[in-house]
Amino acid sequence: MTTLSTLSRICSCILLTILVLARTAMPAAADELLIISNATDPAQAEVRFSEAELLALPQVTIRTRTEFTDGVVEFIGPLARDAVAFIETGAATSVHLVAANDYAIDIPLSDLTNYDVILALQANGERLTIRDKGPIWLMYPVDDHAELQDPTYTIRLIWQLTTMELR
Amino acid sequence: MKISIGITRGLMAVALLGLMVLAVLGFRAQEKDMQSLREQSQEIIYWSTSQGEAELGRFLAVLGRFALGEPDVTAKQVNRRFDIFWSRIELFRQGDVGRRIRIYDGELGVIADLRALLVKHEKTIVDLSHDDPAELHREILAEFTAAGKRLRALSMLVLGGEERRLAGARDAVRSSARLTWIFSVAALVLSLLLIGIMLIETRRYRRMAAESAELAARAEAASRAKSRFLTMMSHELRTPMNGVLGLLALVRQTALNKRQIRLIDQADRSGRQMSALLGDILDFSDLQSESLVMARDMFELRGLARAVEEMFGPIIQREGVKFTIEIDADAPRWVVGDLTRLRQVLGHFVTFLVDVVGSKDVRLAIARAPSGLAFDIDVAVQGSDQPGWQPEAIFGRGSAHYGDFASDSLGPMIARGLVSLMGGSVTLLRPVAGRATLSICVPLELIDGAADCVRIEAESVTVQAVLAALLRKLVRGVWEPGAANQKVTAVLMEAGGEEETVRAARLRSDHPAARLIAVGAPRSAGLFDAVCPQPVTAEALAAAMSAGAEPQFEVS
Repeated sequence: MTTLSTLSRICSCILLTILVLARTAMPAAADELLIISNATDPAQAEVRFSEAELLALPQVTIRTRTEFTDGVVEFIGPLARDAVAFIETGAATSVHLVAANDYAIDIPLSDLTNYDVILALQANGERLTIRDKGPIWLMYPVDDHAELQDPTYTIRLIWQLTTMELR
Repeated sequence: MKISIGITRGLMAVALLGLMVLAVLGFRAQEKDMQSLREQSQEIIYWSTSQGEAELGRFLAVLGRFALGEPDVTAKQVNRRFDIFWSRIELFRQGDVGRRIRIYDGELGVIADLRALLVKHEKTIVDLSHDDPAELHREILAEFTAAGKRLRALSMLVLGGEERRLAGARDAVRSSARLTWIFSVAALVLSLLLIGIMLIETRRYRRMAAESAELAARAEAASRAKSRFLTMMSHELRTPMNGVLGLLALVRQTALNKRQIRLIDQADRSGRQMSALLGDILDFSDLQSESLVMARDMFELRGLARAVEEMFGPIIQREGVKFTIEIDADAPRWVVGDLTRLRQVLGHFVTFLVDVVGSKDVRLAIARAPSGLAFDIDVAVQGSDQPGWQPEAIFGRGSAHYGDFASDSLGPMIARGLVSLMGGSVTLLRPVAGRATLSICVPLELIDGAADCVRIEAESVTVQAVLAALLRKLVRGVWEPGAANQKVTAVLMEAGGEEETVRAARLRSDHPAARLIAVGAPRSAGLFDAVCPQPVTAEALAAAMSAGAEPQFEVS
């Protein structure tokens, strides 16, 4: 079990490295879902993710309740910190998140390391669409941490996420 | 006083009860606060409905611009805004936020109508094209604009409701805060009341303690005054009584007939009884004031037995009582303790058993006990049928209670007090087969084998007495002629005289292992191991007895 887990981690690292190299080399794709940039380092190129690329990252499952869903929902998607890892964080301490509906919020960058925050692409086995808070819904493991069951974190559950700008 | 204590305790109980009630009420108020906090923590649903309105506005704006044929507006942009607005309507249909909005929507049915409208125009929007008839776009715009008015009405309803809810929550918090403040003040008042009551109580207890101490001091002073009076009166009475006894003795020496002699004897007996009683009163007084000190002298056990026997000689003769004393073969010959007080103890108990209990057969057995000596007084009694059989007179109530006793029990009471002072115990065994045993155990130092002693050889009786008195502090005993088991360690010889040399030689011969010490100025100092010059003091005697040898004697 330990060997499998270690192998899985090694594979993930290799995959991430390949993706980083590919991302920095590739031009912007037409079906991109998410753009990550770093405002503290304007020279650094922004990273754009397509659905396939996000799905290629290690997928993490969160089972939790929210004020916007019925009962416990199983959310699946890559860890937000894995996606942010494609860019040099530099002196950034927060992330400015923007949604398709123009909703925007700043969250501490440390949230991504302190908690397994995911870029949820699926809910209860179904792909999230723009008509149902998709295609990306930033999801915290609310039920796993009592401190997350607070309005401070409820407003950070931003749906229809389109861009992440490190600040 | 009792009423005051009752009121104080009642107040304390009320204060405590009040504090408990306040604690419960405070807890309830806190719970209410928490509930309010929970309510305020909920997502503000007005935000959701207003965002729905905003999204509808954005959709209508982009659709309008598309209908007007603006070149920078694409069908894809219209579709995207349509989808986002759709997601807003979907939000109203899910989760806790949706549930709360639906409550406001109620019979308005705005959400259902909007959803139906979205479904109705979905295909048109998806396939949106500039080739579509202009009326179609206007129709969609008109329908969604009308729906927007209804959504606005829902938003206002939600806004009003949420404001009321938040106002209620704020009121609840304010109310519970006020309650908490009132409870805190009440608790403070009650606590102050409790502190006040406790201070009053403490002051009252202090006053009571001071009064008790004063009463005890007064009682103690009265008791001491009584004891002093008793002692003084006993002394005062004994002096003339001794005079009477002396005169009776003188009268007896005159020529008297038999009747007169009998009367004189009776008077003498009465006088002696009176004198003994006065002695008892003095002892009782000393015991009560705890001023008696036990002596530590070495004496021969047989001497104690002899003294007790002599004490009861006249009674035995007069009353026809059979009195025997047996000393166990294992008993030591010498004992260190207070001979006079031991004799007194035995005398009191035997007197009580003979005079009060009326026993005609008394046996005193003296034997070695684990930590001293046991004196068993075995008497013939008839149990509870015996008229004078009063064990309670011997034991009283408790171990040494001097406050309550019968007149006959004064002797046993004093005896018990003396035994207790010696660290001993008195046990009365229940009569069996017409005999009862009073067992007295007294811790004493027992001397087995020969006892170390000093021989005094002096012509003058005064010198003998002085030396004996001084030796009492230095050695256990003084040699007695004819007594067995005596180990003479030193001989004090009054120096001087024609026969000094002869006497010294004789004493050397009698006690070759003993040190020969001259008292006074010897003619031939070389005959002696040491010299103690006159006037003889305890220090000089101790120095002389230790001279030239290991110091063994100390003056204490």
